[in-house]
This record gives sequence, C-alpha cells and structure tokens, in this order.
Amino acid sequence: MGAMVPMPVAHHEQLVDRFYAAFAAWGVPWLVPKLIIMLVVVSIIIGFISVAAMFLIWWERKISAHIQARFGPMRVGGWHGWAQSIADGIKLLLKEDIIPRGADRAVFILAPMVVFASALAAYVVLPFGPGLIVTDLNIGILYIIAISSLTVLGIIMAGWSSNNKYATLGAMRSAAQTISYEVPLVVSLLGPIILAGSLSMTKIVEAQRHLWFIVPQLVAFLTYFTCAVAETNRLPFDIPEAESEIVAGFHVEYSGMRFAIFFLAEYANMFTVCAIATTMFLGGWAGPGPEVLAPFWFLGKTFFLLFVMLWLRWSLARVRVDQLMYLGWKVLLPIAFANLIVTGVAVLVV
Amino acid sequence: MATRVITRPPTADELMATRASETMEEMYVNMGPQHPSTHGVLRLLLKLDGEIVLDVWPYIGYLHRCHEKIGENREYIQIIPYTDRLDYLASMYNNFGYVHAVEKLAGVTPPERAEYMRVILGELQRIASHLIWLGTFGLDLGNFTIFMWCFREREMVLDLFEQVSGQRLNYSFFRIGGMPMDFPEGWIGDCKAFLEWFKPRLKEYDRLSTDNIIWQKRTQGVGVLTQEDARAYAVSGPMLRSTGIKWDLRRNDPYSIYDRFDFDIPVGERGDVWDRFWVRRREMEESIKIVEQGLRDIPPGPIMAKVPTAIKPPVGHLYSRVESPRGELGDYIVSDGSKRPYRYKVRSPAYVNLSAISVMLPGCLVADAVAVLGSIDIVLGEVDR
Amino acid sequence: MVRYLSDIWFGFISILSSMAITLRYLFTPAITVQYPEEKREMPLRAMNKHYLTVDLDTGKLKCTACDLCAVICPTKCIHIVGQGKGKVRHPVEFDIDHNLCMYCNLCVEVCPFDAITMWTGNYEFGGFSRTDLFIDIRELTAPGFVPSPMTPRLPAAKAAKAPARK
Repeated sequence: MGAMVPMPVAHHEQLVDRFYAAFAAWGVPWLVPKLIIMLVVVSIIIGFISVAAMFLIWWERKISAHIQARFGPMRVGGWHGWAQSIADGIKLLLKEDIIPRGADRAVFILAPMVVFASALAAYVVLPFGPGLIVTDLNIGILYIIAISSLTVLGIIMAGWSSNNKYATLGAMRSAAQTISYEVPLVVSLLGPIILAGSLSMTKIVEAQRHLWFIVPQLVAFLTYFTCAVAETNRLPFDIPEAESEIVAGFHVEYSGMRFAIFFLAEYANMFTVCAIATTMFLGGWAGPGPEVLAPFWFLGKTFFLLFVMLWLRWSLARVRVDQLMYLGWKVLLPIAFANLIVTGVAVLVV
Repeated sequence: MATRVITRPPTADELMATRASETMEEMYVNMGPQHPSTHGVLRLLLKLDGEIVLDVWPYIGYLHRCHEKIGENREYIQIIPYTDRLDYLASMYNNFGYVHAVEKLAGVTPPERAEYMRVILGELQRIASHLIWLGTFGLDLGNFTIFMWCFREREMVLDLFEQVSGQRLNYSFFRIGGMPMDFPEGWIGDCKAFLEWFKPRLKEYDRLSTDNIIWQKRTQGVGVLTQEDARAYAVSGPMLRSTGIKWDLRRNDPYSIYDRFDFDIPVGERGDVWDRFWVRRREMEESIKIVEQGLRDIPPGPIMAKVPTAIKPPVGHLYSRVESPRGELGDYIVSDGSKRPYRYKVRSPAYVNLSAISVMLPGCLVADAVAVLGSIDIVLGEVDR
Repeated sequence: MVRYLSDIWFGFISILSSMAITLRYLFTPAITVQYPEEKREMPLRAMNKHYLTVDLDTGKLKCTACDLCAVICPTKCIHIVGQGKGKVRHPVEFDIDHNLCMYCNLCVEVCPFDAITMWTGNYEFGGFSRTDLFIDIRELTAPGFVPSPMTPRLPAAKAAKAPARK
C-alpha cells in the first residue's frame, strides 16, 4: 500500500495499521477506513494548495510592487497586507454566479473542475520528503505528464461552452500553446530520467544523492523551465490571458468562484511544475541537516523556482503567437532532442 | 502616391452576415472604444482573416469637446487654459504653439528670458511626454515594469512643473508676450539634479527594452510605413523621422530661439515600430542636451513684454506651427481685430498620424495591431479636440 | 544556421540582463507615499482651492468686488455681488463653482488688489454631490495669512507666526 498519510516517517506505518485494525475489530469493511484516509489526504492537499496559492498571489503582488519601486498590498490585515489574498477570495465567493444564455450549462460548470482536478491530481506523486509522498507510483513522472495534458481538455471545454466566438478563439490559442510546449517539456525531462534509470519520483531523488542533475543537465533544465513557464500561461507566454490583446481569453465569461478556481488552478500548476523541476534537477528534498528538515528543503527549492518564475514575469514583454510557436517547435524541441542524444551517448560511453 | 484603395466600412447587414457565418474566415472585430490599449476612446474596426488584419477603419470623435468653437467665444488669453486640454500629455507644447501663433499675429516679441524659459519647459515636456509614451507602449507589449519606472521619472518632471506653474498636468503657463511667473528659487538646481538622475535611467530602460530580444522581435519589421506613404498622409514628428526623412521643425523651420541650440535629429531607417521607438528614445537624450544648454545660457531679465490683457491682434490670418512631441502642431488663427478670434483651428499631429494607420495595419497580425497603434503615439484629446 | 544559434544565445543573454536589473530594483526602497498616513509636501505655488485674502491689520477682505476676476474667468465660475462705492466697496456674495473651475490662475493674475489666491495647499475638499463644490464667501475667506503671488511670504515682523512652507 505504501505510505498513504503524510506524517513523520518513523510512526505512520504503525499508525495506519492500527487505524485499520481498529475498524476491523468493529466489523466494518476495510473500504471505510480507506475512504476516510483518502478524504483526509485529499483535504490536506487541497488545504495546502489553497494556502500555497494564496501565499503565492500575495508574494507575486509584493515582488512585482518592489520591482516597480512601490509597495503593493499594505493595508489588509496590518503587516504588509498579508490578508489581501483572503480578502480577494472572499470577494470572489460573494460575486454573482453568471452563466451566459446559450452556454452549454453542463460543460460550462464542469470545465473549471476539470482544470482544477488535473492540477490537483499531480500532487499525488510529489515527494515532499523521504516517505512523504501520497503514492509512490513507479511510473511517477509519466503519470504527471499524462495528467497534466488533461488541462487542455478543460480549457477547450471552457472556451467552447461559453458560447462566445472570442472565448473559443482564445481557448484554441491556449490549447495550441499548451500542446506545443508539452513535447519539448517531456523530451527535456527524458534526460534526468535516463540518468536516474527510473520513472519513479523517489528513485529519481535518491539518484541525485551525490550530484544534482542540474549540473550535467543544465540545458535540459533551462528548456524544461521555459516550457514550464509556457505551460502555466505565465508572461512572457501569457497570450491566453493577455488583457491588451483584442481576443479575450478562454475564461472571459467566468465570474466569481468559477473564475477563482481557474486562477487557483493556475497557481497550483505553477507549484507543480516547480516541484517537478526541484525533484528532477535540484535534488528534491536533499539538503544538509537532519531528515526532519527535508520537507523544508523541498519547499524552499520549489519556492525559489517559483520566485524565478515571478521574477521572469515582471522583467519581460509578451511573446507574439507566431513567435511562440516558432520558439516551441523550432528552438526548444531541437535543443531538447540534442540534449537527449548527448545524454544517451554519454551514458553509453561512461 | 499612396497605392492603397480606400474601402468603405462594412454596413450593418454585412456585419450580421459574417457573424452568422459558419466559417470564421473573415471576421469583424471591434477594438475599443473602451479598451486598455487604445490610449483613449478610439474605436478601431478591424477586418480579420484568422490572425491577419485585412482592413482597419478608425472611428474617432468620442472625445470631441468643441475646442475650436469655444475658442471663437473666448478672448485670446482665456483660450490658453483650453489649449492645455488638447494634448493633455504635453500641455506646455500646446500652450507654446498657440501663444506663438498669437504673438506672430499681433507682432509681439517676448523677452529673451521668456524665450529660454519656453524652450526649457518645452523640452522637459517633451521628455515627460515620451516617457509616458514609452511606459504605455511597454504596457501594450506586456512589460509592466517599464511602465512604472517611466512614471517615476515623469513624476519628477511633474514635480518640477508643479514648482514652476502650480499644476501637474494642465499648466496654462504661457502668456501672450512671455511667461506669467519666473522660476522659483532653487528650481534650476532641482532641474539639473533631475537631469543627472535621469541620464542613467535611460540606460536602465534600455536593458528592458532596446536590448531585450522579445522587445526587438515584437517591434522590428512590424507596421512599416514607407517614405512615400508618410508624405502622402502628411505624417509628422517622430513617425516621419522614423521613415528616414530628416524633417524637424525645430531645425527646418525654426521658431522661438531653437536655432541657438545644438542638438541632433535622430532618424530611423525602415519606418517600422522599432524605428519609431528608437527615434523617440533618442529624442529624449537630445532634449536633455537642449535643457542643459538652456539652463546654462538663460539670461536674467524681464519675462513679460508690455501687452494688454485683452489683446486685439490686427485683422489678418496666420498659420504657425511648432514641433510638439507628437509632430507638427499647427495653429491657424483668423483675427477680425476684436478681442476674440474669428476662427481658430488646430492642426493636431495625432489626428493626421492616426490616419496613416490604414496603410500600416493591413498585413499585420492581431497582436501587432496593438503595438502599431501604440507606436503612433496618439492622444485622443488632440485627435478629437 | 549561425544566425539561428546567435539569436538563441543573444536571447538568453538579454533575458538574463533584463532579469538582473529587475532584481536590483527588487532591493531598492519603494518610493511611493502611503497616503493618507503620509502626505507629500506641496510646493509653494501648488494651485488648490481658492482663498480670498484678508488684510492682516484690519481683518477685512482685500477684495473690492471689481469683477475683473469674474470677467476673465474662461468658464465663468465666479459670481460676485458687490456693495458700496469707491473705497468702501466690498463683496457681499462671492461664489466660485469649483465644478467649473479650470485652475488656470487667470483670476489671481488679473486681480490688482492681491485679493484672491490659489496657493493654499488645500486639496482635500472633495464632496459627495455637486453642491458641495459651490463655495461661498464664508468658506472662501482666508483664516489667516495665505501666500499669494504678490505676497508669497509674510513681512519679516509677522514671519514668526506663519507656518513654514517652501
């Protein structure tokens, strides 16, 4: 069954077994404690995502402000407006829920859920620490890549069901962008996978005990990071969300909590791609000090990469749609393939 | 001669037909009048084929405030505050253009110190106007940071203007015959300090704009305006200079005391968006030079000639032009000998430059439409008057 | 091929350069002013709500209701009703409609008696309806010394009592 509950390594196996034993003693079928544990785990993950996303939104506003020589949120909650995200969340919750007439209701309501679910599903294999992983699938990274492609489905659902010509166009452009950048993303990830010799997330982290993969795979890391920025629709690749383009984004008809879910999914996706980068290139939870500090190292590295993503947004202009396609297919993909070939040859020879 | 055939905008029936069509081959898209990137209330009706713009029809008039008609019912000195509101991002230059025209018509010569003050304030205004243009242009391209940095420098210029005139945006600081007030104590020192602060800032903007590959790729080769089209559409200002034609009224038709100053006229090569950006960026440096020379050479003396408040120019008419940050700002005044002009017309550069959009935009991608419109540097107050 | 590779290299370097300068700015202090807790110091000549100046010796308005300001105002926002003749002429009603006022300073410039000024530093007088911005003679009367173009500073004898402004 593997590790199912993110608690300190030494104790959780025994606790889980005792939990199951207690239910068995009362004559309740094993499905019940399993469901309870799953619900607890999912709530913890959703809680973590919400807190992380809210923190990220606040942090982004602060970083963007200080880069631009201003302060950012200062009032809500007192110290530097730390409660600004909470206030924004409450505001979005209180907004009127508008569904356009002529919109495909079922698809319209499902679309944000699909996007969020696929963003959420990737957290199941993220290694927060030694043993702190919800399910240690032996095809970990393959699972993440497969699940994250479902986001495209959600985007197209959102654009199509809005019954708005411009939303559909925006959705198609966004889908084209996502699909174009998936290919070099996956190919660049093949480099560390070859070096580690396994698809499982924990084995990849363990393979970096002596040398982080960023050193031999610097080119792959840069390619991966660029594709990750494009996947999450961040500047410089944020055409789907650009306010100053005429054709609006796919979420133009969404308001209130539904829009908040798209927003949350974007930040959840950002965290996921940075967490994958940490696992594959920066050694995961490895760091000096006792093992109980491992989750902090993981989170620290992930947040450092998130900081780089935020920093990138506020330094660069937007890339045009055709230049985006050129970059994805004609620049990043050849570089990723070249890296793959060199890695393969090096592993063979060395 | 411009080789483009003038097409008429689609009728309501044609618009409805495309909306109902199954294929989305040819689509009419409205940009504005409420839009974050049209720099005011401007409506552009675009005809798109997928991503490519086939045709564009600008609709203006949303900000028409009857400036010229108001001018017929006000005394000459009372029109000065109204001229501020034309090109509200370069108010000093609007004042300059109007006051210069009335002075020529009435035969009034402002004293030397007033002329120097005008040039200094005018060139500072040019820097402020180009800064706001650079900031909003960066914003259109997606770079929010350069917008804030340009505004920080612009705030400093506005502080200088506030110390002189009392206002931050609509100064109405020029008078027929000179200037109403002299520089306050310490202003010249503050101005020099600002210039010293500003010069390295231009290098900083360069790192985000001129030397940045995304900026270059977005602007080079986009929205090209040829020299013959530029002449045919009577564009002026940085847009004209970006096509390669070296025409600047401060050099080719000098007014006030501009012939005493030593500065270059930056000129572009291909007439694309990059060249327009580069010409304005270089103009900021040249304006710094002019301001420094002005501050160095300004003589002491009176700032106002002996002119009655209710001035009555002799009967006649006059067209006078100045080089505002956007181009050739012309004022045509017909006087019938009374306290009010008989006819007062403004030739606004942004209005004329905007008409060239019909040759620049077809053939561009939709994403470039925003960049091209931003590079023309329009201010709707001037376009619509 | 060379162009392709040099473009990629230039792109990479230029992005790093942009990021470097943005990072430097991240660690410089912010320059914005947290209004209303902090307020900017206004220069002497900042034009704000009008005040009718008061002769500090007699306590009476310097205005003689000569109507010059009302005539020169481009938007005709000044309305004056005067009383008396010659040296005792004074305004009974003096209204300025700040909805129309353009802040052009012509009324101050044209006044020969130094009776009206806009160098008051009072910019926080927003209202909730248009009538809040009709200002009558009581609100317009200056509470004490207010700088004006003809008298930007108090004469030395009274300077000790005046608050300092640039």
